[in-house]
Amino acid sequence: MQCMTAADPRRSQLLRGVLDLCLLAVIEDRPAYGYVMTKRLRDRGLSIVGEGSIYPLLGRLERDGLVETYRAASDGGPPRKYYRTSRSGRRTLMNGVTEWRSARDAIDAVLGPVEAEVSA
Amino acid sequence: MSEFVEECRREWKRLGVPAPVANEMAADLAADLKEADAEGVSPEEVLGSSAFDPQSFAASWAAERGVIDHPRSRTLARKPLVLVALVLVLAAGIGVVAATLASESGSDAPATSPTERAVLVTVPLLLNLDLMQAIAQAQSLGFTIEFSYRNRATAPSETVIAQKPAAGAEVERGAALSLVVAR
Repeated sequence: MQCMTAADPRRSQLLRGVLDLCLLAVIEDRPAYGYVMTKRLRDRGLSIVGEGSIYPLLGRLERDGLVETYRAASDGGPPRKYYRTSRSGRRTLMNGVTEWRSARDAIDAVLGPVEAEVSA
Repeated sequence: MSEFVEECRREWKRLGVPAPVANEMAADLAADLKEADAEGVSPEEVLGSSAFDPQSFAASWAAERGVIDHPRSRTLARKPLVLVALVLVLAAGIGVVAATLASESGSDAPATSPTERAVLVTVPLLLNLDLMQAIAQAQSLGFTIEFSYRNRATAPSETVIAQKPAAGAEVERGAALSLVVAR
């Protein structure tokens, strides 16, 4: 899995369009608190180094009703704020993934013939 | 690291974020940074470029959550100052009158305040429920939840395999329930 780590304005723009979906995706099966979400993103190959943090976006998702939160302690640690997808969050994720795949395929078709070298 | 959290606290205070909300955000942030640090993960990997700008980070987080005290409501609070002063003068006046009356009429037995009873709630049965269901049920009754995972091949993953206190116990509203969850 490719690891995107270089800070770059185009990358930021691309991420801006899908980071909400990425967050919803990593908590879809199992709720998590902030740091765990960062780890799940990283494990799947997405680093936020050079980008903004996920916290304001989580705040926006909560405000928009796409995630629900609760406080719970796990394994004797302090209580943490857990996030899980709401019903409308799951709907948004499904629709968003469909849109993403369609856009990605269309763009790939346009850019496909271009032979790009990775520049240092 | 804790300096970063302190800077965020200062910014939230400056913005008029209610204290309980700011405290909760600070606690969660500190816990995340602490856990990351314990795993050898840098603040940059947790906060991205925000790691270098606590003020913007704190402001944007509070704004997105919608917890910044709206400037309009802050100016409204200043207006009734005169009203508050009047009330205070009035209250002082009433206090003087009451004290005078009390000394004239002789001492009565002080009124007893009604004894406060703690609100008791029955602990629900949460065994075998999915963790999310268990939390939802417990929270709807006002309980807080603590949970830990154990390996238990004989139970479906994410189901509650033990609870304390046991179902049926009478405890104070808001008490903590401990759950053990199958991994």
